[in-house]
Amino acid sequence: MNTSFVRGILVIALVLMGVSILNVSSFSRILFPIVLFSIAVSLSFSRGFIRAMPSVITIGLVADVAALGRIGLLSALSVGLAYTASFFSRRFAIEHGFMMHVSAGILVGVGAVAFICMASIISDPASWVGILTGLRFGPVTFSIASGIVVYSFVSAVMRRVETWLSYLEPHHSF
Amino acid sequence: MNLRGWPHSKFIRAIFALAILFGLALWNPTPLGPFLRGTFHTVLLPLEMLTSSFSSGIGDVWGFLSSIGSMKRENERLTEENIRFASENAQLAYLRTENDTLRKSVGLDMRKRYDLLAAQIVAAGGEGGRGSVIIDRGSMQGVRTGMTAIVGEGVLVGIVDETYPASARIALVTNSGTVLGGVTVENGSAGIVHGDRGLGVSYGMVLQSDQLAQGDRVMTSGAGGMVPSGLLVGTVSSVRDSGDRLFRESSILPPIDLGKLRFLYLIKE
Repeated sequence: MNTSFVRGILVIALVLMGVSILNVSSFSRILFPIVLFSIAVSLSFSRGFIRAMPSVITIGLVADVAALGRIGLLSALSVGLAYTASFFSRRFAIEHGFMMHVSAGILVGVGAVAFICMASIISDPASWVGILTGLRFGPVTFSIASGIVVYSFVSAVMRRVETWLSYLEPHHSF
Repeated sequence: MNLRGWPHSKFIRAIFALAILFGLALWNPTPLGPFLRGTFHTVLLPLEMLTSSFSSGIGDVWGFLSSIGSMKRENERLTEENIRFASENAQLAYLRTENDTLRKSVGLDMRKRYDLLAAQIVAAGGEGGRGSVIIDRGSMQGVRTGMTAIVGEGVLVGIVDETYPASARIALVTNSGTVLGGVTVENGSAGIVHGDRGLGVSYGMVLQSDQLAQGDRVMTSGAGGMVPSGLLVGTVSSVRDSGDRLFRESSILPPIDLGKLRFLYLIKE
């Protein structure tokens, strides 16, 4: 059987189930975009932006459908964050693991705040209250703090998933 | 995926992808969105129901643990409230009987009880996560767009705005797209109830000559014919003048936490 097909099916099934579980079970609605953006940034670090972009767009679009909002918004912000993350120096990322986690976490948190603002503005373009809504002390602090914690967890899980998926590469299959 | 035909610059690729995705978000294609959401939630409905039950179980335990400190105070408040409601309930039962008798005597139709369809909430989202919910009943079970969702004896939750074969999406009363007629119980001040970006509910377009005070209860007026009259929306929390000073407006506190709802009823007729 074509290994690309098997990998594709596995990845799609994993993304569908993961997005559904995360969307339903998130105790805070800010947590869902934070997890999604952490995956995008993590993929960008591990593969580089160019190779990660198709996966980021696919996962983002599935998340858009699950999150009941405008289709394209979460995926657009995921691409933007993955692109921004690609500017982080690989040398900096390898030699300063802790600082890399903090920087990526802050980036993810800022992305989540931007998501709240943009979701509000798009639903009501005449109002600028959405920006103030997203920029309150509570959501900003919670997003950035959660971003740092969640990113560390998600990046560790992503590394493990990438390792599992690598067993399906042609030289590992019959 | 083969990307050889694409522009080589990383920046150009990012801009290209961002332009398409933001364009999609602004365009918001109507037939595509409901179709994709319908397929997604139909396929994953069993998983979502399972996850929803599991996560609400965890939420219940967490809620119980975090409420232990305030339980005594809460219990005292509820006891006082219970005594007050028992008294009000007895008065209302008497008034209902009197109302039915008067309606009969002047030849008016009796008030109808709602024909309800119970549903479980399996997912939430939209407008930062608090604008819409997905329920486990769809067009196959008779759910139609425009049906009203309530809890309890008549507390408004939202309106069905998209239906799929085995599920449906409900725009909550906090959704920016929810707009309906309202009236206060205390003074009969008519106005417009509308959602506030998934964060709360506002009550506006109340004439300056009408009375509107903190603590007033707002009910649906039935104007427009889509939502039945007499459903409780919430309590007025603060009153202010509108920007042009022509009307009065206020924020409304719903009597339930919409984020913690697990079950609701749809009014069939």
